[in-house]
Amino acid sequence: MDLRERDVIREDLRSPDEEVRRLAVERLAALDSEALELLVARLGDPSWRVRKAAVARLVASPRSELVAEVLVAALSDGDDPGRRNAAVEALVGCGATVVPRLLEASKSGDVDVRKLAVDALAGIRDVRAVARLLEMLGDPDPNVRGAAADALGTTGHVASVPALAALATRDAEQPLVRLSALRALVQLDAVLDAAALDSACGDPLLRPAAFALLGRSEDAAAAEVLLKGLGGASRSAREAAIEALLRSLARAEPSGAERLVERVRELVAAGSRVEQDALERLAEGELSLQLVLIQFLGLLGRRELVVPILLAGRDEALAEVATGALEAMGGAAEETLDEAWPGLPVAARALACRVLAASRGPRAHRRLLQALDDPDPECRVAAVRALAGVGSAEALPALVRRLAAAGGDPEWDADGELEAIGSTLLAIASGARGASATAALSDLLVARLPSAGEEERVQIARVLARLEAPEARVSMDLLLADPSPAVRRTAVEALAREPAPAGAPESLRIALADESALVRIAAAGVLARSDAPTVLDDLACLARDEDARVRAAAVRAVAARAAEAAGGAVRERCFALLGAALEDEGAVALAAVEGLAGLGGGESARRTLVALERGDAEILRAALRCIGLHGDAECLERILPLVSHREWSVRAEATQVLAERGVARAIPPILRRLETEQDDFVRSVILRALARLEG
Amino acid sequence: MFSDLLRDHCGLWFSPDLRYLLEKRVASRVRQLGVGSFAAYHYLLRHAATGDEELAQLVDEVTTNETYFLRERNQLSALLHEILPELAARRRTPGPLQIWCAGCSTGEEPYSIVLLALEAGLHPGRDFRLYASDIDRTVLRRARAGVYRAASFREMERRLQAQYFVEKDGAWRISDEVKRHVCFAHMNLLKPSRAGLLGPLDVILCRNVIIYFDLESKRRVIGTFAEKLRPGGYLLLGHSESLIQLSSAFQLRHLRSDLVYRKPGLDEPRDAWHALAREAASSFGPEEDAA
Repeated sequence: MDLRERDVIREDLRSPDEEVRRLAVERLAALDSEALELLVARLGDPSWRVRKAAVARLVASPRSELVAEVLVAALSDGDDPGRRNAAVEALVGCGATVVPRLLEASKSGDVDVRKLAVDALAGIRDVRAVARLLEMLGDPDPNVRGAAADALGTTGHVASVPALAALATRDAEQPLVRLSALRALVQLDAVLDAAALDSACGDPLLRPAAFALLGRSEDAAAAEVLLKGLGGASRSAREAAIEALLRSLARAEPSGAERLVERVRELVAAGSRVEQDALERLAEGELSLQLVLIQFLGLLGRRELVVPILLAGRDEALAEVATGALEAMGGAAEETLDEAWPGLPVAARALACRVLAASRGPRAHRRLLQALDDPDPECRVAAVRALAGVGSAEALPALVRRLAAAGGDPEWDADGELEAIGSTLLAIASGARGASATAALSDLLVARLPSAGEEERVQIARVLARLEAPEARVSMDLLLADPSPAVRRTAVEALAREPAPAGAPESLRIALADESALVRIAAAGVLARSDAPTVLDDLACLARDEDARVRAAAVRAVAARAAEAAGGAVRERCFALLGAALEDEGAVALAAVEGLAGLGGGESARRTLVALERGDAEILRAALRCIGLHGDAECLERILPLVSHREWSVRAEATQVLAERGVARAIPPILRRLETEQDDFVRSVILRALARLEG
Repeated sequence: MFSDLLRDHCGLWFSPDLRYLLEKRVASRVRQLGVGSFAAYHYLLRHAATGDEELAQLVDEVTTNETYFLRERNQLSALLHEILPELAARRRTPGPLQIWCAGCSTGEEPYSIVLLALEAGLHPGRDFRLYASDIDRTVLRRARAGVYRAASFREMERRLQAQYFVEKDGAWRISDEVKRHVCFAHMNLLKPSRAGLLGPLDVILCRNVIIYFDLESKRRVIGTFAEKLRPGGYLLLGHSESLIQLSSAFQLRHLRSDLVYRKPGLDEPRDAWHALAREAASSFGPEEDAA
């Protein structure tokens, strides 16, 4: 870089336009010794964009020692808090390399420097800092002591627990420092007994954190304190007590947990307001609180709470916990939901099906069968899915009837319901319910075939293919020749069962000549798993198909066969087919490159070099990945020109591959590209690549 | 120019006196697509990304698919009562004989073979496997559906129709008992790679198909058949078709019911097959007179 260009960059850094300054910061990598100083100066830039760019460049710099020095020095800039905070951010980004300098800075006479050094150490989470942070719990400044406690919490070292416990339980200490210590102990999953936390439990500010610690305690007195806390005046403390009690229960022995649950129930029955509070907060609290409250209300086991918990579960984020809580209530939930069913909102009925499935009681089974005719599709699908777990052979006629109804309903898109019914029928037939269920199901489905619509036949094909019944086999022949391509495709896919077909059955081979491309694609997929001697001949035929999607499927199947092949002539032929496909149109060539990448080895990389001549970015990226994984030095050399490719994603991929493979010869072309690169993402890739290659 | 395009693609040949038919059908596609002119449509066929798909559509439009059940019944009878027994007796490897109906149109021919085989007491699937192909996807769809109008039954006895078809709303649906024995495929006879999927064959029926091809295409198709047939295998053409000037790979054979072509066996004395066929016919399934 000549002097004039340096002057331009310096000038731009002083520009009133923040974008000009940011671009100047980006170009600062081209400068040498002067660059660091200028970058650190920009940490105090009024624009956050410029500060962020400066942080990124400093973090990416290979001169870590020097960077650490200047950043630590920037912590003492008392006049500019923005610059100091940006320096902390950059130090955290630099990671472990700056820890020694931060430890030095933590001994500074300047309280702000000590505090910021601790903040940076907290972000880096390096265990080498633990000893110094423990010392700093005795710092004369309470902010530093609090920050040190926070940092020990994030660093996560058990050796810190005694010192933090001492700080947390010291009555003379400032409350905010004690709070930091208590929270750090919670983060470290520390165990303290109730007596030690007595004074903290008496302080409204510290009580929630103290309760959280009691939830981890095995001290019998802890549970008593938490039970008492359920009736406290402070809502945050009550909620902390609830959460802590749930934690205690999760850890307790079954008998102990049972006793504790009884105590909670007695307390609520005695008129505690905690249940009412929990119900109110269930509607308005944050997600994390709602999750706790649902579990707590489920714990109370009262029938009156079943519906509120169910309704709360309509929120997708709460559904799993709500169903879990209701499932744990067992018969009470089953009976209540069955009775309340007619009045349940639509969305809640679907969730109720999940709960009923878990209860496995006779009422649940009956209700789920009735729900198959629910006006709400979501509820019907939920009932169908629930029956997959609990349905017996008695459910089969109702499910097949529903299959016919859904298949013949032109009013709505029944795909999801039909698929769910197919899966449930399969689950019931493949379950340990005896051959009679299989035969009964086979009869029911075969009887439906003559009048079934297309979607219904698709599901029938799915199910019949899995049934070991003679009638099912006969019907599969018909479905493989069905007028609907969707049905034929499903029937072909159904041939792909475990274990892999021993030979390519005739019906499968003829599917390779189907008039529907989708059927041919499915057949190629199945053929990939066949060990028949004619497979490669058939796939070679398919690789000349008129439809590119079919050719791509054939190529993927060839790659799968090659992966299975022990070596020799079969593998060689697969490589030849994949190599030929590299010359084909986009989707086919991409399948070939991905196939070669999956096969691995130098041969794959060498063959893939042909794809570097392609114009399609997606193929180029895939080829670069393949060569990056398997190529030798000669192959990697061929990638170098692509760091300046016109397509940004190709430049980025090529740069990344060269960096990952440590190709030092790539540094000059990458540096040349950096001087003109305008794309932010590619610039960041280049900077990381240079840091890796030069470091 | 459309005639040349179709000939190169699938061998279909429109002689000058039939060009008006082609023009009519191309004009229909031009109108349906709204491309404005024959030239624009020709450009679309040759150069557009959807050209191959449209060419297949045009083939669907211009192919002739007139057929019916039990058409040229003498020949079908010869197949079942003379050819299959002879081949079965000569067969050295286990497994069903392989039959290919090349140009099956809407399925009447392959279904007729299965139906007659069932009547003759044979076991389709065990005794023979039947493949049926056509280049026209529309007719294949109809063949797979297996639903027919009265015109398809002009040569079929009421008894057979009642036994193997179910009537609904004025149409007859073929029974699953027949339907499940036919494997349909989409094939262009001028592009033999897909035929490779069928494996070696014992009998090929290609009746009333190559009459629509030009001479060169006919030769190519017959060459493919000669390659696909096992030595001693049979080629059944339509009654108005012959291999004169087309191929010397086959011998013309006179059976009781019909004339057929046969690919010579590898090491059997010429003409010894006929005595063999007669002998086999007497021990293979019930025989009935050709109607």
